[in-house]
Amino acid sequence: MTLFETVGEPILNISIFALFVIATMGVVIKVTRNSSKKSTDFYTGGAAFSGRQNGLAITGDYLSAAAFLGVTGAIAINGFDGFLYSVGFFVAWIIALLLVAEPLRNTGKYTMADVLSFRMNQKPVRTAAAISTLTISFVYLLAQMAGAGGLVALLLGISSKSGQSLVIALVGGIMILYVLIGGMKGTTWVQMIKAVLLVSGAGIMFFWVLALQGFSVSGLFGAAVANHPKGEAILSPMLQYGSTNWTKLSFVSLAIALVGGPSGLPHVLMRFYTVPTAKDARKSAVWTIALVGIFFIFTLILGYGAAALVGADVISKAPGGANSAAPLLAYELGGSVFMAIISGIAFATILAVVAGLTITASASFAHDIYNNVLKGGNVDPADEVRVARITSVTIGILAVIGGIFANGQNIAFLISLAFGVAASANLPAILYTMYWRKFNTRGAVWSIYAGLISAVTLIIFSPSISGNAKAFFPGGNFDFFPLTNPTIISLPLAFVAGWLGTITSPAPDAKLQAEMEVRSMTGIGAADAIAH
Amino acid sequence: MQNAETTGQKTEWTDDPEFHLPKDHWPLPELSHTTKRPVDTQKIDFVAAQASPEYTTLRKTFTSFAFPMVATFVGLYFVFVLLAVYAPSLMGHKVFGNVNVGVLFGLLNFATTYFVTWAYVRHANNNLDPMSTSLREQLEAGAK
Repeated sequence: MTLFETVGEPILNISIFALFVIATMGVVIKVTRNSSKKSTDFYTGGAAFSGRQNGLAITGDYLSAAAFLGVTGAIAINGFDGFLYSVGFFVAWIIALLLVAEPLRNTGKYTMADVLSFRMNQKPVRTAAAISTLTISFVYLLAQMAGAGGLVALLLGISSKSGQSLVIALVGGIMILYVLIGGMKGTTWVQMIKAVLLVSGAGIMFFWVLALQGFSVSGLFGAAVANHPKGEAILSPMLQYGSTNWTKLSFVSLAIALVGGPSGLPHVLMRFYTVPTAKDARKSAVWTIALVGIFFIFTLILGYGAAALVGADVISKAPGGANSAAPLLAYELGGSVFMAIISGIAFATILAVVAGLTITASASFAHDIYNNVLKGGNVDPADEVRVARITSVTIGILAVIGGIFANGQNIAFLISLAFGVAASANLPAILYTMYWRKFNTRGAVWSIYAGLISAVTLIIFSPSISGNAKAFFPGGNFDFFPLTNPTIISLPLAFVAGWLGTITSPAPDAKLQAEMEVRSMTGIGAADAIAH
Repeated sequence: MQNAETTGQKTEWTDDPEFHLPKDHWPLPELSHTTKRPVDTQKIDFVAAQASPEYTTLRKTFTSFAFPMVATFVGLYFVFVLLAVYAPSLMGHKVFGNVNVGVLFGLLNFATTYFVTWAYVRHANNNLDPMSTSLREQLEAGAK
């Protein structure tokens, strides 16, 4: 297949990449130059974004490379099983909109830990929340980095591992620059631009693919079946997960992770602080839902379109594997220029998500651990931001190293692990804090650690990490836990631990509990729009 | 909006419309300000507020809508997942052309999620917002 020596023209691809990077960097510099240099801007962009702007930015944060490259690839290769991801990724927003977004905005300031520790003993709860934020952000970053490696490998025809590693390092470098220059305000603008580009890019491909089939969805499915080695099986569930009872249960576990994860993802939660009021937080979530839903309907058609027009075999053998389905489909549709544009969008997606994750993780470290836990909350804001900047660089370097290891893994799958950890470590604690009056410090700490430690441990001993050819360490043999996703165990465990911790320790401060609850419902005393 | 910060919140106010300006501001006050007067939450008795009938109604209006909605429609998603996992042949049953039950059920989940979003926003705008705003104003008035 000469196609894979170089798909499209590397020079063209590089130019379009460079154009995206330069254009977005220009925007970042422009928006940050126009604003006052206040320290809160670094974290929340001054909480001055409108609901619609923020909705676009959340869409940008949420629709990562996993959603675009990963889901399209998963549908192209595994058919219906890939579609199950899209449904979960989307339905999850019911929980985020109804139970989390508004109370969160009303009671917090910068980070998830602000809310969890509001009525608790600050230090232990903040420490736990910050550790879980850092862990989740790191796993999520790995997935994005792996996506960047695969994507660029395909476009520039770099098939050597060392060449791809260099590319991952380059992505890490650019991402650190974005965060250092732009802070939250800059990255929010990058997210918004990227969300528009990504949804419209996917939309163009959606109509293009359907037009080629005479706008017949059934015809498209038929064409995909005809061009797929597994034939009819791609239209039914369980092509990928149906082989044993353990893989089936793994899928149920994955489904729990997908639906519980978004409301526990720290970089999504932090976005609800960048708007002035709870009503704007609600509007943000509504905009996000509108766009995310449309996008995942697009990916269903893109996935089967890639199976029909490119072919599952061709995709699997391409550098980047399943992750290259979307760019290859673009190549089939519009040739090398269109592929370069779509890949540029995918690349911008990765950069933007990576920047958002980095800023969340560094804010959490600087605000929660450095300022509130280590220095008792007395740190000068400028100093806190200085620490946040140093942390971004550190996280960037760690993500590059991790990304080099994760290179080649399906990113939708890697993301599902991050979702699993987020659903287990954060969601039970958040729901308890908001909706269970008796919940207290020990309950919060136990719930977070139980979810976090059990999820991470079960992942380490799962078939995802060792014991088979597709694993991280194919040579290793410590896959004692049979499920590829831990959530079916770790999420209930976190709920039980939270309950157990609560009933075995003294009742919480009733005054603080009342304050938090009344605030969460009315927005009274919420951190002000601009002057935090 | 540096002002609200530099002025602090607990100073004694004499010029009421100029609360957002530093005391030594000069020359002219900015009369149309957008910054809200900072509320001293220390002065609010949240325990009493939580026990008040207004709050109880608000809380109930919220939870009696949100909890069943989440349970129903997240539940529907799990029905979809469990059928996909344990009844794949049912999901693979073709309804028209190559479009099968599974795809339609998946799309139904998209439709219901959009429906919940619409219903919640309507509920919040019509029922929750007026109640929470009046309660907030009441509490803020009491805190002055």
